[in-house]
Amino acid sequence: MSAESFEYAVVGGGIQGLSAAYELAKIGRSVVLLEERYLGSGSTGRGFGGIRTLHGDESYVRVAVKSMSMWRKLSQELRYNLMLRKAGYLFLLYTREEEERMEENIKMARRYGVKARFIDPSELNTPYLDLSEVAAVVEHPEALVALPFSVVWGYWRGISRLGGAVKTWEKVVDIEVDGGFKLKTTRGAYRADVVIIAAGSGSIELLKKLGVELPLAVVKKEAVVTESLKPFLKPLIVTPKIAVVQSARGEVLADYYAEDIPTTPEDLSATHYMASFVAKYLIKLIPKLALVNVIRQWAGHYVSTPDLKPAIGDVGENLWVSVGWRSGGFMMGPAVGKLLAESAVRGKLLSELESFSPYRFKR
Amino acid sequence: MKAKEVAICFCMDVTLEDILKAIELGYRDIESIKRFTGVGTGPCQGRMCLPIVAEILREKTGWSGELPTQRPPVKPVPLVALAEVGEDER
Repeated sequence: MSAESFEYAVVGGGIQGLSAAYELAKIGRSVVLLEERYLGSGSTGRGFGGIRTLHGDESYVRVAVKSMSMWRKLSQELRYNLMLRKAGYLFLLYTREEEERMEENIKMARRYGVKARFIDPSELNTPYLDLSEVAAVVEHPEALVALPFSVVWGYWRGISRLGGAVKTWEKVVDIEVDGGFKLKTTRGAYRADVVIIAAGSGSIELLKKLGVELPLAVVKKEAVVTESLKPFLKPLIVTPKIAVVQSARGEVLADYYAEDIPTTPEDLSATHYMASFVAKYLIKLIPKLALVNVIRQWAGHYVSTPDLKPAIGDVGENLWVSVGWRSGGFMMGPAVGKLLAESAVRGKLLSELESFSPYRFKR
Repeated sequence: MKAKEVAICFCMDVTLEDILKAIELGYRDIESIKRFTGVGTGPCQGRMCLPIVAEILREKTGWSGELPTQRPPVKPVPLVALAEVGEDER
């Protein structure tokens, strides 16, 4: 079979891969993006679309701030309605320890212009929340919520408009180094000078084929969605146990994750055990939801590294990765895709991404 | 009958016109159509509509593939019922 040739091949049709491919196409590089199923079918489409700049790690905050300024202009740039709204986040803290950690994070993030502050619960106009056990509340008003699939489609249309190729339902089954790279998929074959792997939990197997071992562990999360309700919940609420948001269609989405539950990259089963946890904490937080119906439950993955930061950068000659994302993969997508694309073009990891370099795991 | 008068998904108010428009815009698999139009994402979770959408897709594009994964619960369940049972089952 003859192989189509591109300068760049991006593996993974989530926001990380799409944004990198978009930025490459934008500077006139020939690029093909290969997605095993449909765009956004992995972790991107399984999250809630929250976008914040308040994080605990300084280098993370810097990239998040860059990403936020890109998000604000992204609908316009992609000429697609990303359904962004300025929902804001509320962090509910229950212990003095959580409070102290948050105080430090806010102090650090403020140096980069991040807006977040402790507020008195009585200032909140949220009578539906049970705050009786809450020790402190942090408001992060600049945070946004987007509809993840709109973002995915916006990038897809952008890449296509710029002459890039996006292939869906095409799984990369083999990848070899041969001058450049030879990629064999379930539907064809491609050649590329440079490869970027951003395939979530699917990256682990691909990297193994290339002899690259990164300390990546899969963590399962599960979410439930209720029937649609009249809009009542503006912010995205984060507690140490669950995150809750009301979608643009009025559904209440809530998720829960447990680090200690064994899982595999293939395991996307929805379990009664996790549904029960989400339900319990959701009712505790918003008692009025007790009789509201859950209509669907689904599972998704975090891919975690030992230091909980993603691995972004080169792992071999002309071979780049953006893997190991937890909750930040979506919100950091625009900036990381851009910085990664620029790094791959230059052949050197840009300084903004240096602290995420996969080489930190090598001794 | 006009395409906009043919209801495909009663829960989410999606018509045949919406489905045809999605196909025209390039959403050519059932998973993407589901998310673009909202078809099959209401309380009945696509019991009636998704097989019909699959048929339309096959006819219009030659698509072949599986219907979206069926997720629990089988029918809507109140949060309180989920919260009270099952927590110890792993």
